[in-house]
Amino acid sequence: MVQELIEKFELAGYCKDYTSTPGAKSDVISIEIPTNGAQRIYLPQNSLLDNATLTCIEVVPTEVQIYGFKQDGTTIENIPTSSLNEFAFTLAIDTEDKFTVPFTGLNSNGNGGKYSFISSVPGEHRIGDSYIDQFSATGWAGQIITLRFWYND
Amino acid sequence: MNNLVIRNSQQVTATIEGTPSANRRYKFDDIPNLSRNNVILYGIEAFTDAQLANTADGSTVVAAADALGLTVTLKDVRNEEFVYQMPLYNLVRSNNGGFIVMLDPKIINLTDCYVQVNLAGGLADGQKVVFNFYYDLKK
Repeated sequence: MVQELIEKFELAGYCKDYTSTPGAKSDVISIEIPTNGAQRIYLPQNSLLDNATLTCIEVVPTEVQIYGFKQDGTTIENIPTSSLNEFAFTLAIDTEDKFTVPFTGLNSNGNGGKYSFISSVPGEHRIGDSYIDQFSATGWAGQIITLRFWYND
Repeated sequence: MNNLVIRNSQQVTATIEGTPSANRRYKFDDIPNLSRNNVILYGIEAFTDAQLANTADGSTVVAAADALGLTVTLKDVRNEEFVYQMPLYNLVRSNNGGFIVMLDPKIINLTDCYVQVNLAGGLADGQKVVFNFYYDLKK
């Protein structure tokens, strides 16, 4: 009975083996937090990811990679694991939100090494419409949020 | 061993109102997007303040320690309690080694679903029990 259910899930694309590769390729989007406190930060436009099938998203805290890369090539500290419950990522297109996941769910290091698998084909998402919400008043301005997107062409 | 693939999600909350006490039930807040009977729920995840400090409207999320004092009951469109008094603790991903709880896909009756208190502990008026419902659109 359980096997039947799992087969139904796999057929519908609702689940996959947790040891599966997160994706064929990966790209990184790094964002320097502009101000302190509650805010919404939109991601920069990324046509490569807009035209790819997204399969997994990870957030990379400073305990996994100390520094993130700024667009000018310099590096600065990634946000710490202790801050992850203050942020959430929303994948969107136009004004439609596809899904929202707290950063704690995107940190494989805090989830027994399990990736957060997603499924979004081209046309279902636009990176430039997607955003990060900070829900707390804490000041993280100047630190980097590093998001790793896994994708298939 | 399989883990859930996120296709669409909707954040759902149940608000603790008044003074919480054992056996009190708090129905899920209405979400028009999930109340049109056109979405199929196939996974659920719960968040305490360890996963999400505040909701989008700034409300406080129940403390991780208070998850032990709450259970969740889900009803489908036939009003069948297909998940009855499941411990909230079991729905928190990091308590399950990173696995998200998967459910036999069902069309749900959102506003008849509820969380129930078994021990009030530190629960307080205005706090929210927060979930992510993972769903697919009915074809």
